[in-house]
Amino acid sequence: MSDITAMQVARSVAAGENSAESFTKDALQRIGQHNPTLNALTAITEDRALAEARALDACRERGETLPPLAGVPYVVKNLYDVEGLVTLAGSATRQDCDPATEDAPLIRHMKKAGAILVGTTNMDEFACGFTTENTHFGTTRNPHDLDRIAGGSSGGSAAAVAAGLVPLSLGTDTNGSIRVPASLSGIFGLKPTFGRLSRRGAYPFVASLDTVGPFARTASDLGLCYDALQGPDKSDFACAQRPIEPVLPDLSSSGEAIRVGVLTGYFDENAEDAALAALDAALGAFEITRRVVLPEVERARASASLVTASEGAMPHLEALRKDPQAFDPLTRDRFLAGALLPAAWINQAQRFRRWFLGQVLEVFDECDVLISAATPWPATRIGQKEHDLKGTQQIVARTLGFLTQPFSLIGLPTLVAPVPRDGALPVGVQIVAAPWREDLVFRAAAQLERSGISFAPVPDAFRPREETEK
Amino acid sequence: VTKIDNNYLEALLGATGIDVPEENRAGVLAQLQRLAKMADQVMEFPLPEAEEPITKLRHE
Repeated sequence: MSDITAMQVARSVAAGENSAESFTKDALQRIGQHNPTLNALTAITEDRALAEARALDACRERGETLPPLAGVPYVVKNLYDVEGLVTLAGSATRQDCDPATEDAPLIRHMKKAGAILVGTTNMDEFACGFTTENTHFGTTRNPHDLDRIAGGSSGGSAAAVAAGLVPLSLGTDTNGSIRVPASLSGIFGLKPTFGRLSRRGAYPFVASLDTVGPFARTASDLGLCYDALQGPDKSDFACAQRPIEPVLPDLSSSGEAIRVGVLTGYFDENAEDAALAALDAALGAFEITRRVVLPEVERARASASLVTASEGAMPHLEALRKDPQAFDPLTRDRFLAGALLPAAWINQAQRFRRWFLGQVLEVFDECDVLISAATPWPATRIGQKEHDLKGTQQIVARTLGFLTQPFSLIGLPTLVAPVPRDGALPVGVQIVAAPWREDLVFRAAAQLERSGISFAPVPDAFRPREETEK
Repeated sequence: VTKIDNNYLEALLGATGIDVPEENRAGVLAQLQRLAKMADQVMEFPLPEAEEPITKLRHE
């Protein structure tokens, strides 16, 4: 079944109704059938997946209690270290590197939770982009319209979940690389608080902005996966030594009314009608809303861009000196420019960052969460360079992050919930909370789901004929 | 407004030891000019003198 949830898989395996091996084979079959069209995966880890699944089935046969993600197939962006695979990070320059000698900690967390890794996914080179139009590894297509982008940079991970190849996937988010593809592909995606989850073994892009997180087709699946990923890691300088704070137990109850701040000003000005209509629909799920205008958001985005350009270029400086032509042309010029920025610009951007963080935190005295459109528009066509936004031609690859970047700068937890639209492409809303309050963004997402506003149907083209005929 | 031109690019490339092929210089210069506009936005903002840069983002 293409639309089975992670929770349903885990329950079925734990109850002995179906084996982990059968779910894994189903996922591998769907990948074999649809990946040539989608180009979501760059490697399939069939042998490993079947071995993990059979080991799990053996545990059940011995009467052992199975972990929470037992038998759930998933994929990871190809910048995560996977033992035995070269960590490509979307770049042809890394194809000749030695394979990883161990799994990234998050993959170990997933394995401990019983999830089955079935492959790695396509991305923008070095996570530098919002479209997953990769010169060397091809473009990942949007399952809702194959002529359109899935978003990026974690586009392969988003497309694999949106098409129902797997119920869960992992991506990374520096300036919006989980939130943008979640919005364009019509699924749930979480960028946790900066420092919440270990980034070790995930190829770095911008050390002071990078986060890692999951995609899913339901809020509960997203929470189930996020809870399994939590845990401190002293080997990641940014990872906070915090206890696991599970969100899943609170998802099924509505609890106290959530105070929602609706972001206007910059966030309205940089979203077209389709995205604003999705936001309006989402607001119908909440009892208490107020309009909020954050100060100097445009400068926050500019600061994020400067920090990204400078920090993002530095790991590649030697390679740029040696062989700039080996890079994807789309990223090479950005990296070269980033390596040349004056220190005064970066220092001022980092000063602004502290100021902006203080301003935004004050808003959370009166709001539990903030909400806006997640992207300025739904998915654009593959190869489309520009898009009209309120009468101005904007560069697609840059503008897709307009609404997500300001919150990257200050490391706030942000969850994208999908808003499907009849006969039109889905587009998401982003829900933002104060640091470490992932519980609140999950509660808001669950409320959207209970209200029937947020859901992530697998497109008919990716469902077996017998499912679509029901 | 910060002026970023070919002479500035040449000086930076010399200082960093990066050799950008002639055919790529226009692309790099365009990226630099885009970032310079953003830098102008940030540099002109009157931050309080005591505002220190975030060298390591760490939430309480």
